[in-house]
Amino acid sequence: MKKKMICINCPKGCELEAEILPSGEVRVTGHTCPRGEEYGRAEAVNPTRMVTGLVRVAGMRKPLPVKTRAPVPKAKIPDVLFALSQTTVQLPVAIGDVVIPDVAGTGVDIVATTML
Amino acid sequence: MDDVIVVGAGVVGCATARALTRFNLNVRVLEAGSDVAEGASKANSAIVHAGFDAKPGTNKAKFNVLGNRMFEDVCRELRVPFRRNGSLVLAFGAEDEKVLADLAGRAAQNGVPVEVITREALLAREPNVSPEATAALWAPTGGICCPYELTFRMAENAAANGAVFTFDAKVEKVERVEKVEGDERKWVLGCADGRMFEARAVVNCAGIRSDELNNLVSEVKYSIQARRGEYLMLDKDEDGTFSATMFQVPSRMGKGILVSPTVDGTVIVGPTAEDIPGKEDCATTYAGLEKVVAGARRTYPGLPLGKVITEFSGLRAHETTVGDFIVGEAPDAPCFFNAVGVESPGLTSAPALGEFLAEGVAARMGASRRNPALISKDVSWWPKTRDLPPEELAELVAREPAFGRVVCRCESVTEGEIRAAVRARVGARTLDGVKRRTRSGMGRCQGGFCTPRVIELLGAELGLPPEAFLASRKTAPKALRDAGEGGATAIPDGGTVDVLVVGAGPAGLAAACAAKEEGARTVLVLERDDAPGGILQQCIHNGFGLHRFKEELTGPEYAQRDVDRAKELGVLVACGTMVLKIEKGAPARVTAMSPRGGLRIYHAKAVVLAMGCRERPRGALMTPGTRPAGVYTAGTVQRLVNMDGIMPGKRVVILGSGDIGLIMARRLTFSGAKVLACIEIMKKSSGLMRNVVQCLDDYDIPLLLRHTVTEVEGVEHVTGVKVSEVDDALRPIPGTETHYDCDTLVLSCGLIPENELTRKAGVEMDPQTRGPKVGPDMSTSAPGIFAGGNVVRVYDLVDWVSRDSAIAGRNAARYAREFVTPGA
Repeated sequence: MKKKMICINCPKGCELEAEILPSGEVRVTGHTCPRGEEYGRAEAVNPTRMVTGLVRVAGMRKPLPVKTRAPVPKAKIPDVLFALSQTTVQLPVAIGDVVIPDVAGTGVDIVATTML
Repeated sequence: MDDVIVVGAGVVGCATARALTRFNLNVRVLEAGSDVAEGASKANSAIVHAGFDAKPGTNKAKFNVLGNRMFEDVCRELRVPFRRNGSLVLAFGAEDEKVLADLAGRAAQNGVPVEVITREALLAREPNVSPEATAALWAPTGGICCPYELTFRMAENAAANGAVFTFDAKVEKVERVEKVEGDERKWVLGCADGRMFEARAVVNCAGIRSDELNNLVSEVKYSIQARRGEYLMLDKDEDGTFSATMFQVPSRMGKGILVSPTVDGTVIVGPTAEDIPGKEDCATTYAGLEKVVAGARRTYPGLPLGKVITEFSGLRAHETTVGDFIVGEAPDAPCFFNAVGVESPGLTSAPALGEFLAEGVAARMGASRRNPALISKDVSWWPKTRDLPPEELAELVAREPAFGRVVCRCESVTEGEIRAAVRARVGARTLDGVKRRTRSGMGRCQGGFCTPRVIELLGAELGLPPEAFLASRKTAPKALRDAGEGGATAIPDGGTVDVLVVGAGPAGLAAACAAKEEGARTVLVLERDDAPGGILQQCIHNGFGLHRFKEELTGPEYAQRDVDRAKELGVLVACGTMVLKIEKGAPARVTAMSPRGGLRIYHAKAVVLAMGCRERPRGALMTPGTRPAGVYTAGTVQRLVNMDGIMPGKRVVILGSGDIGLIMARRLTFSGAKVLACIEIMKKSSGLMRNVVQCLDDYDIPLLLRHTVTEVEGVEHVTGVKVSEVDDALRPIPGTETHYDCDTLVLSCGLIPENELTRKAGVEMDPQTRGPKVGPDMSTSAPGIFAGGNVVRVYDLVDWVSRDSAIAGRNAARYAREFVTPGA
């Protein structure tokens, strides 16, 4: 089975093709860097995304920007967003502080991306 | 590099800084806290001691007596209240009376006038004193003042004469550099947050930590024991209970528990004296306050506990090896001056210590005195409405209504006073800062009524949400700490800098850092927003920095790296400052305005333009239809959602497929809105393919290529848009019209370099890029004016903005180095 995709790693936007071989191995073509090859392989088997979002801050209207520390499975994004919507943090917060550990059972932490 | 760095902005540090500005020296004050007077200077007895109890021949005796004599003049110059109310030391029985005789002997040796008076004479003077007192020592030269107001006005006057105050800068490393290019010798000071400062001389006024600073550079080690003193403050109803400061005979640990009027009409009671572990613990204790009450009742049996309005404690810096003030140049650290172990009578001694240290530093460095006629007397004074006679108050309020709006009712402090306190050169940035400058919150309700109003005024003046000032009473909000306090006021009006950068976004910060690395001495960044970082602050998505940092960062993370770097390098960043005009020349003249600094002219040997770009608005697209609310550019929506926590709508159409529009399609989806479509007039998206994939495709948002919005509908608010296909000439094709029910139209139709200042400066423009014409060194047609980032052309990656802008900064620094003052 062949899958066409556009790499999202950098602005080049290389057109990749990933083929899942009978052995289970994935062959990627069209990439121009190792990150692209890795992306193609993951995208064919288990697409993942970094999620950036906002959580409420107690006593403030201004929200706190956060991100997943690593990419999470695409299918889990709604659960991640729901977890963010259910969270309120207390000040002070520093860059890199864990806001939600193991968000939505992904094994990935939500961390703050700014200091408030 | 500065000539002198004073470490510590307590009363001794500020007195020293002020005295140093009387010489031809560049002075910087580094303070670990967010404000002046954050240590012992804010929590002490507020007494100007007569000087009868210090051991004759010690530094304590010498500087006490000298300082006491200076107080009238210093307080008059600084316009702070001071009263010579006299001091009384009470004896309770024959043992104590012997001590009074000893004190009288010491007083004679120290040259302090005193008189032992009888019980009757005492009671005639002070009718509320305990009848148990048997005699007293009367010292007419004792006085009272407000220690933090004194410190603050000293700092203001020092700043008015060019001293730069850098807060939140805790010095942790001090190193001597003996051999650098030329024959330069200097001290390098490293702060806890990584910032480095250099100076030819250092004055250690670090109070409770002055031993640690000394011990970093000298083999003559000192050791400071924190000695805590707890106090009670009584309501103004108690004003007049005593006219003099009422001491009891001193003990080994200190001057004992006193009861004293204050210049503000309250009565202060305390302190205890307790050696504590560590140097931080300013808590009050049940046991301590009991001691204060018990001790004070010996003097004032009628002490009414119902009149207590607050309790506090302070830490004395008690030096244990010498037990005296250690003042002067360290024997084995050239140009490193100490004021170690300054405990009581430190406040009294401060003016004399400041002059002594400044004279020592100046003599060591061969610095001449400045022409007294050129020394500013300014102390950023503002009228205290509670002290004004009615006719003057009426006139003031008629002229400035803010002085007619009372914020703190207990102490009668007006909005005008609070705003002035924030706008001062070394202005308040915290609740405590406002409190100590204005007395707002110091009265009987202790801030109960005024706190909500004060944070609102702080927010309005400093451009932050009010709640930002509730996180800490004494530490300034993060955004202000980043803004590099001192930036706005560091360079005086009319002053000259090597490189002036307009804009503290990624371009401006990269240029400023590169200029500093290239050797520019003073690099000043003027930023109109309230925090550095530019548009990256609101770009909370990831994808930045892959090329520059080899990792994927969000916008705020990328910005923070540049902000940290700029801080480390000593770049001055003045936020809330709008550049109004740039006039080319040698040097260039830059006119800027800020609430703190007012309207100022800066002279710059070189200028870097880094104003960035702005979005094309609806008007520029000529989209037909009504003009309802609900039409925003993508950047505006980004600001509303990501920074202000406001969702502009629920059903959204996006016109244009620029990167910000695509990013906002995903953000609005994440935030619960339905994005109906993204409409692009061209054959392909103008944004990056990666953004089409991860922002539209991932969430099944249709991208309609070769379509455009042909009508905006709605009277008050957007109710829908009409969308048509376009032909090769980009004209709508009749009959292809579809209608979308939506409440928001988001525009993402391109960015335009922001070049109003550039054009007005007479810089030649490039009609293609809509930015200034630049050479490979990023120089413009105007000598000494460089440009970097989106102001030159619109980039799609911030990494390249940083790279190219750094070129502009480096070349600006080189230009500044070779700059020759015309006529010189």
